[in-house]
Amino acid sequence: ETLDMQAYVPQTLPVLGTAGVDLAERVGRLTGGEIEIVYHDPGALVPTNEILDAVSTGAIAAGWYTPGLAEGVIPAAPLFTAFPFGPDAVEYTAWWYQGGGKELWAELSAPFGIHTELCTMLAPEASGWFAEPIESPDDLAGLKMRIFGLGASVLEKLGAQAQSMGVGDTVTGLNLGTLDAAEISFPALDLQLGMQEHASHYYFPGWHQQSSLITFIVNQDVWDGMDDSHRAAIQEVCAANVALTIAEGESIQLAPLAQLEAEGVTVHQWNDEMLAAFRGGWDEVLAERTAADADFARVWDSITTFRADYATWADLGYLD
Amino acid sequence: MEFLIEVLPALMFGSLVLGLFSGLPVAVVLGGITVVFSIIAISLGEMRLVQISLLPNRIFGGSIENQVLIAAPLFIFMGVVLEKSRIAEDLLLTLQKLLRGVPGGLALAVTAMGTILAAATGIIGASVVMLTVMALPTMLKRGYSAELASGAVVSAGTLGILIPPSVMLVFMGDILTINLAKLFIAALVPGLVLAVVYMIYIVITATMNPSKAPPLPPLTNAERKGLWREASLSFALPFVLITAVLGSILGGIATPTEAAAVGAFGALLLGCIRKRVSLAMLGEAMDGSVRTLAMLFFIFITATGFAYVFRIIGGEHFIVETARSLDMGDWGILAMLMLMIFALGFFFDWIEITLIMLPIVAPIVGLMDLGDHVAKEDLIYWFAVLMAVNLQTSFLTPPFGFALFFLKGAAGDLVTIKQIYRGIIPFVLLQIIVLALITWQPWLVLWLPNAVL
Amino acid sequence: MLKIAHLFERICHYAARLAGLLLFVLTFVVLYDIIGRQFFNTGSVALQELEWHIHGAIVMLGFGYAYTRNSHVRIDIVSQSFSDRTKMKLEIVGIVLLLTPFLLVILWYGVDFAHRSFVRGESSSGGLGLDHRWIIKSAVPLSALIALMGAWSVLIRSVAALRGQNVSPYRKEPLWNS
Ligand code: NA
Ligand code: NA
Repeated sequence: ETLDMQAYVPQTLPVLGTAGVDLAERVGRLTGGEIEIVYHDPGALVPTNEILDAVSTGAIAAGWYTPGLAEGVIPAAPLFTAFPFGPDAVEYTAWWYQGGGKELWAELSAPFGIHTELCTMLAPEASGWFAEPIESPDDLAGLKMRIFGLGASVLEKLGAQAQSMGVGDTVTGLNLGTLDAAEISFPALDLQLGMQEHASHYYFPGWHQQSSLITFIVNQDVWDGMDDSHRAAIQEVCAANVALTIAEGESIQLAPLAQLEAEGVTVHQWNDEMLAAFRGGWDEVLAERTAADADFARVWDSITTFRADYATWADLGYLD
Repeated sequence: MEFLIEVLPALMFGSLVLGLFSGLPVAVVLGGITVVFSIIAISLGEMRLVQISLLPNRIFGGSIENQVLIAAPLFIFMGVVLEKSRIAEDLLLTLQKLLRGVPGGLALAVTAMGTILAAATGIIGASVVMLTVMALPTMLKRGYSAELASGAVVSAGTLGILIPPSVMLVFMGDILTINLAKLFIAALVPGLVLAVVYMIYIVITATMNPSKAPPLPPLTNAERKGLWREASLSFALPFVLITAVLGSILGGIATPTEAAAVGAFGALLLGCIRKRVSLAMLGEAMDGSVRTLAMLFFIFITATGFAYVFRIIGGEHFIVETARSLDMGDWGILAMLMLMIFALGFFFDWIEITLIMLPIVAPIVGLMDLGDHVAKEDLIYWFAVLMAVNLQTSFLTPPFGFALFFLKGAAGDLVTIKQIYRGIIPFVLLQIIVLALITWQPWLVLWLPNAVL
Repeated sequence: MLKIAHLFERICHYAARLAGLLLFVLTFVVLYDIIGRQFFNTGSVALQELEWHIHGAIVMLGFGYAYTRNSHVRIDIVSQSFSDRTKMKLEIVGIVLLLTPFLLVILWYGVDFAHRSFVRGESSSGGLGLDHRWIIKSAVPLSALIALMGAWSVLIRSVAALRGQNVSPYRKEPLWNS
């Protein structure tokens, strides 16, 4: 059986794309070639914003996806990809597998007729590339930054101007001053894209996007129609992928970071004042979103409850 | 049955070729073949019915929800406004007068004009339509052969896609995730080289074979009087426009996509300055733009259906397999890729080719090592420019060539499609020569960006 | 029948006029975005979405009008030697067998496509953009419907002409002053 899988990122991107290629390759080996997952680069079958719709109708069997892309139809969706001041990989996976996250997502995405397997964890992103150093929240006023999602909403609260642009226009914009800043990804990927040629101030931590969840989605009818052993193979490979990508993401960043610094990039860490400002902006956005959407509030409630309990355990169980 | 499934991609391709020559609108043929082959593929079990329901998603995501393509209506609108306000015509007439004494002067003026327009627009439609309407009738009246006249117009008109700003380069930069400014600058010298090569060819043809481009009588004293004043004015206005478009990009005010609006507004403003904007003129400008855009996007939405069904029945598989199974060294692969892109250009437009080929070839190019010929970090830029020059031929090669469609659409019965086909042959050959030249001498591509950035 | 052809043609005509006017709107929205971002800190996400909304309407609304004006490009290298009657017959066959099925597919699935967007209450995925995505998604089936009207108005006129009535399949009136 062949499963066409439309991906939201090109297969060449480290971790984001390569993990999807690994999934296809290992499922093929595990099922003795009976399940062939074909990775299609963005736009090949359908443009990225239409992946969910295409999998829901069954026009495409599967997708390499991240739940946040569904924000237009599921306002709570970003909470299942990454959100400002979100948890690390261990805490996030604990919530997904054991804390009710998986069930909540299954419930919210049920009307779309899709089945979801968590399949990759991404390491924290960088906060972004800036043309000039940012010392105080005042420096954000009027700042033109390419950034999406909840992080974009937070920045708008702090007086910046969020821009939605493709990568091509983004790097040109950074070089020529049309943009002052851009959020792309983590060091390994940013180096591959040559971001050091476009801006020289690289900020951490990525408060807007700590660890992120990447998923394999599949049309429910297709999933229900598969052999039990084939479903198990996909589930096992995805679970293994989560562990492997945590390990990979945490271990591949330092060498690229060193190379970026060698090429003249200054690595900064946000000071406490800036982090407090971002957190203040996030509180405002959060208040709006929880008021606007009952599901958002419900998911947020589940996350905060889980994180409060987890904090008790982490304090007790871990050295630091 | 097995055999039918095997040859289905070839059948679909063959039907397109035959269908295109039926004389029905190109979009009608593309859309019809899409449906017919969907039905065949579904009845053969090669396609599921629900797969066809993806067409609206593809049309929406490809032609509507596309931030890069918003440059298309704006650049076309700008081109039509420049035409209707006769600002472009002024420039062309001046160029024609200045080049009167040179063999092939009228055609040379067209190439010069195309080069100037190319620096202000990012697509080809606008310049081809404009040059056709303004220059083709004059050339024919003055005894130029229909072949040379059409060839000069379409070749000059397609320079706009290579000389920055260019929608095609924006698209490629986006897919390859490389530095777009560097790519723009890298394409500049090859674009100018191409223009110069066209001009050399025109001069040689006109000298060797004056019947194709008869010399014109020298300027009369009356014509010479005030020529310089007229020339400076007709050069100044387009120059202002180019400065505004490129300046807004380089000055960090607008993205290359947004600069198209600067161009459209600038053209309207210049028309006002020359007191040539009236309600009637604006109505004509809207009319011309809407027709051209409808023609263009009707082909886009039907072509996306064709490409999709072609992919499902395994047409793309063939292309991918050939590209991957190559075992012929880096130079052999490069030659093969270039040949493939050229061949695809006969039947597909650059968007489909870029979408199909770039993601496949990018990793292949990433692994290439051409030693001292091209530095590793420059390789992708050099390759992108090679591909861009190569794709430029796809606008000119029959049967499916947008520049030809634009020319025929704007010229009506002035020239036959047969004359156009004959006319483009030498210009396609010149493009191949330039492609070989920049392959052989990569510094033509890489020197300027590395010096400037 | 010719009355229906005329009605179809008028509808195409008005859709194309709207597209023409939107060209000015698009120019000024993009300019407003550029200037506002540079000098007045106006923010851009909603504007940038509005830009492709307008772009989409412009490029999709003119299909039918272009058909009634014979502006869709053809490769007539072979067919130019055909008689007018043969050309008209060929056009009728093309519209009925090739174009109409394609447009019906787009119309049928396009209505579903826009309807799904409507019932799901789809909005921008950024949270800062525009709501009511179904409106612009409706441009897909709508453009197919308008294109059908344009093509069928040509078809009806061609049939009339073949039956000896003094009509031309295509209209010549410009977009304005008609
Ligand atoms: Na250009
Ligand atoms: Na071609």
